[in-house]
Amino acid sequence: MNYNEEDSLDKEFFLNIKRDRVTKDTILDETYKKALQKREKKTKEKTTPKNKPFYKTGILLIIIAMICFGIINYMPWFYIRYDGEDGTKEQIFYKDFKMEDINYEEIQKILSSNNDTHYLGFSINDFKNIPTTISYYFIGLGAIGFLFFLLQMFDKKLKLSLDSFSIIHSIFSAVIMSIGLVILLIMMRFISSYILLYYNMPLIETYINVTNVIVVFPVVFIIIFVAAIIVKLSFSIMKINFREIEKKAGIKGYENPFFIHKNRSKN
Amino acid sequence: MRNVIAKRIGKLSAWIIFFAIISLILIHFTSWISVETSIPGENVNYNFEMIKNSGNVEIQSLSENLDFLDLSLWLVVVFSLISYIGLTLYRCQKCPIITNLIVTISGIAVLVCSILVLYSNIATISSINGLSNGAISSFLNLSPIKNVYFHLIMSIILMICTISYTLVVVPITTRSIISLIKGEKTVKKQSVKSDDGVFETKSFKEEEKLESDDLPYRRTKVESWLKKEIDSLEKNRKIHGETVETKNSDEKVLSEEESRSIEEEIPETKKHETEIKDIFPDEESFDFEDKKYDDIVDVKDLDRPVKPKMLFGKPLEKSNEPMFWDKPSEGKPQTEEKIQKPKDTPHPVEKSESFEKPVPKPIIEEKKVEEKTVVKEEEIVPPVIEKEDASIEEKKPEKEIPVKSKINVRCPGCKNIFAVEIIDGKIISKIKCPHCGREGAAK
Repeated sequence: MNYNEEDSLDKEFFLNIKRDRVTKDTILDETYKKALQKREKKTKEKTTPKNKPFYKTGILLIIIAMICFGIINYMPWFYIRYDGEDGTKEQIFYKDFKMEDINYEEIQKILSSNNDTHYLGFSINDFKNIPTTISYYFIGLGAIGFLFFLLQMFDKKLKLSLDSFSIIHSIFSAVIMSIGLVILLIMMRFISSYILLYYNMPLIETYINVTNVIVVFPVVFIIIFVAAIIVKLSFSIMKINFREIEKKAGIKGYENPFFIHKNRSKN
Repeated sequence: MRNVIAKRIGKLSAWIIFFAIISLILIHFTSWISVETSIPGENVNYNFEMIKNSGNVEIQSLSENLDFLDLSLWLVVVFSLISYIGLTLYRCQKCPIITNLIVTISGIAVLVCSILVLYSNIATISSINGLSNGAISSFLNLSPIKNVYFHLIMSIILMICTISYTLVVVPITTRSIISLIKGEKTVKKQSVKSDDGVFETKSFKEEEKLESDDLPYRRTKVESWLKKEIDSLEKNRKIHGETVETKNSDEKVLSEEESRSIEEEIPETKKHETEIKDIFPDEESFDFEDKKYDDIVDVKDLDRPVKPKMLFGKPLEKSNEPMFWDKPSEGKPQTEEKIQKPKDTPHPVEKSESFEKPVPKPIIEEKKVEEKTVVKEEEIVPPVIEKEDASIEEKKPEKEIPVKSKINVRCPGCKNIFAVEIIDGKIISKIKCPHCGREGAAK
């Protein structure tokens, strides 16, 4: 084999290797572009949520307020049953707690104070005042719901960003949560009467001569359930908003590896 | 703020709200005191409402403490809600100073209120013990377990949560507030005069917008910039192929005597450079088509012999002048200097210390004009490319004292702003955040 032939063979060999490299590079470029496109799609999916979260919260609140308003006005607030000297007696009381409705002295004695001490922790006046105050709170909730509904309606025209919308949403939900908490704590007064009844039963038996006293607050239980749901929902809304903003910021996915100059200037 | 820290803060604030609500319910739910009655062995238990409405002055005095406890718990709930909203605002990166202030103030307020809760709990226990007739009511008439202890335990848990919350949140936010205020001051001071004679400053909002840009958007920008750059280089290469011949022909015209006289005029350091250049006279032009952007430095091409000059430009031992990485690198390539420079220098290629192929005089001018247009279009320039461009810059005098100065940098992870020392306008290659320990390069 001549020297020239060897040289030509080497050249061919190296040229083949170079071609292979070129093809590899082109394939790599194509795959890189495809990967970039895929990543872009994924990031777009992550950053742009399909809908703003809990879009119909306002309507939900209005519905809850209306239902609770109906429950307060038309459902029995207080049911009592006891064994007296004349046998077992029971009485149901509605929102407007009228003294004329009380047919039995024992009930009056249980609810009235003995040396300024109420055995159940609340008086007849409390019974009269609490339904009205709670109904006001529910009206307030309904008003907030209506405001929120209006905001959602205007959002179609104003086209608020997700950030601003979620901030407004979280502020609204904080207010709703605090109202729900107030309702919950007011209603707790009735629930605590069960404990007081358990503790003070011997005194009631000795002073009033009644046994097996059973007390039920149907409206109170329903409202406590609703208030607990309102508190939980509002806090979960706040959490969801927080997560949505996190997603939008892309903190989980992409992190900027570069440090940015604070006093960078345009030359 | 790092993702882990943010998650922790969110969880802690949720726990604070939960414990505050539970303790509020417990206050209204459980009985506080049991008072002896006229009947021996029979006690009346008082809850929160009963204590409030009691006719006994001694018992009613307890209601002040209980009211204070109730109020402080409500404040804990309200402030924790505010801090939660503040955290959402913080994540939105809108009005950074105000949001930081909200978070810090609410965090401190929550801590203070939780301390007040604990204090009022202890005060009520002590005042109940001081009653003549009354005593602390026990849980389900079991004497060792007292109802008040539940409140106490809850308040202690609440305080632990608030302490951990404030310890996490307040240092971060205070640092960021201080750095933001300092950064604003420096930005106001550093107003740079542009070519048109108009003073331009970059506000925080603009910077935040840049920061919040998406990755694909940035990549596309950088890619387009690179493509343009490569196209321009290819054009230059084509023109270079034509001009080299003419240059060689010009060189041939010079007689031996003239060349000797020129060599005598050249200083010693430049003589070395000329000698080194002569070692590789048949150096091929750099092929950008077959190379990837990241592999520009790669010299393992089989068709060419491996030459150290391709990597380092010139040997380190012989050059006394500073290398390109020691030179100051500004935010963007300095186009003006490049246009003025080659006219004065006889061999501009010798001064280029990068790995690139030497480029003749007329081609550089064309390239610079193109670069200028590119710079106007694209604002974001990667740091690697800045170094490439800096290679064509004019050399500084040899014995120059390095000027030290500081520059404020913001961490992309925790948004902490801190000062970084720069020497001759060049930032150190790797920066470490003092807060979160994150490493990265300056942009």
